[in-house]
Amino acid sequence: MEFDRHTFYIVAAYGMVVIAVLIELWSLRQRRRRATRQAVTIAAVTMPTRTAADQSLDSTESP
Amino acid sequence: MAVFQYAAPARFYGLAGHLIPWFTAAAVVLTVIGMYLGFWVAPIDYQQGQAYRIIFIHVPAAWMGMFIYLVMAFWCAISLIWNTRLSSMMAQALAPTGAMFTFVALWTGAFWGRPTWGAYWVWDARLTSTLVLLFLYFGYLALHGAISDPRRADRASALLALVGAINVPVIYFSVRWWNTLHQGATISATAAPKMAQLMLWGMLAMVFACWAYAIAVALHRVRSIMLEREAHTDWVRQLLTPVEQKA
Repeated sequence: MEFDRHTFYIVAAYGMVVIAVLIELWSLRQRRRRATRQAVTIAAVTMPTRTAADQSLDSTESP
Repeated sequence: MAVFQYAAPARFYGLAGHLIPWFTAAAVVLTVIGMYLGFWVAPIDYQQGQAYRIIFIHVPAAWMGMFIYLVMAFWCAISLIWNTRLSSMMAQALAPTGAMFTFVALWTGAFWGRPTWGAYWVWDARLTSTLVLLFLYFGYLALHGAISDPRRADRASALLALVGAINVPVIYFSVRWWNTLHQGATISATAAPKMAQLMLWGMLAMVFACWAYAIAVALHRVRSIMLEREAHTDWVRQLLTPVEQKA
């Protein structure tokens, strides 16, 4: 490919394509991180946990 | 049918995860081939000089902008009719990519129009209807984001998407219905292409690259949407168990 007076337009057009793709990929990554963090938090909150009474029973349990 | 088992987000999440690397690889390989054919193999245009090489991204982006909108409207219709969770998630996942392609089509068109028409922008039927398409994407995303209840947001934005779908044939036929500055179709299903074979192959490689990219990105986004919406379900909890243990 040779450069001519239209090179600026080609660079401006394809340059914006690269920027747009990078922005989209970055936003995808951010959204993924946020969604995972949120899901982990919800899973931790709603995870069935053993109560203090259960644990005290473990410690006093006779062999 | 076995295909319908993937309508469940829990199953589709895994399938999407397996498909993403393949579509990503296809997008990269096809982009390299398309750019090589477009910039190093295809000859210079005798009228437009080098400026015509913008075609290798402008046309695929414009096609994808229209096609993704139709696919989005299809999923919205399915969502409204059968109230399926995955279809509304797919529509939501496609909208940003469709908006990106429409923006790219308008931007690259402006930088192609300046050296060939002498203007970055004219209120031509094709350009104006494509701008309306971009606003429809923005409207869909804004409406979906404005309603906090996901199911209500799905229904409201699905209606907007379906009404807006009428704009896609208007864009496609605008160059026939009105006397426009924008050229008519170079490629059609019924006639031989009006461009050199090498240019055509380069453009088609870029079209398939854009397809593969759009599918990979939409699948990636729909997985995030699934995590956001299904965070309270057992399958997401089981999925994230290793992550919790690491934390």
